[in-house]
Amino acid sequence: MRRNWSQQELAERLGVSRQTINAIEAERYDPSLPLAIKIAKLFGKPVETIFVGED
Amino acid sequence: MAREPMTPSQKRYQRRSWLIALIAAAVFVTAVVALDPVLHRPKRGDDILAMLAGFLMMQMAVIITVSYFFAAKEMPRQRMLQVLTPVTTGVALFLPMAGQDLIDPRVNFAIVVALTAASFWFIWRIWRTSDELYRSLTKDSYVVSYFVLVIALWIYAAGERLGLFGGVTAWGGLAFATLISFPCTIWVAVRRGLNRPPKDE
Repeated sequence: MRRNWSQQELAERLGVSRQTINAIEAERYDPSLPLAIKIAKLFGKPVETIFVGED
Repeated sequence: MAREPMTPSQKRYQRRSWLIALIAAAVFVTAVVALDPVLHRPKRGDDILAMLAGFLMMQMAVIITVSYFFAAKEMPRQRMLQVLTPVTTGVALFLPMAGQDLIDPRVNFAIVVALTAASFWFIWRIWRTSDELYRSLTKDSYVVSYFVLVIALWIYAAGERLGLFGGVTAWGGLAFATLISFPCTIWVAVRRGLNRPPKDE
């Protein structure tokens, strides 16, 4: 799943701000469903693989 | 637990944040010194609150402007609106006090109404061009501010009804509400991690 994109590059690909990516990575913000799906599509993985933690 | 070492971009971000804070502090001190005679004029308590709120609004505009030149030049139109909003609000707060002896009250009032309308239009434009994090930040800030203000009003109203205190004017209430919005917004922004440096490189 590594793409070596910076937060800025990923933000531009998703059409959001760099701060949004930072907040999602830091688990300070849960993205909306449309954005979560967009992220999953971009990485070619199911949403739950990206967002569901290992319990 | 040992802290993770900072990446070069995080170090740059931290240095930039300190520099912006220093520039903003210098501007604030200069403004206070320049307005010293006005600030020392005997004033009503609500005027002092309104002046402080106006200063903080102007300070916010300075910080956003300075940070634009240091950060990535993204969304210039939105940044401009983010500067214009606190400027119009700040001027609308200063005018009823500063323009009292200079401008006809009806003209002064018309200008304040126009500035308030412009400020709300800027906020609307920012909302339209913001992404979901900023919209969530805006909504949460309003919600937190609302709760703090309702609690403050509740306590004040009870005290006033009991004859313990009173005399708060609408002008003082407006200044207080504006001031309260600052810590509420900062608290929400920190909770959302907006103070965290980027995790790049």
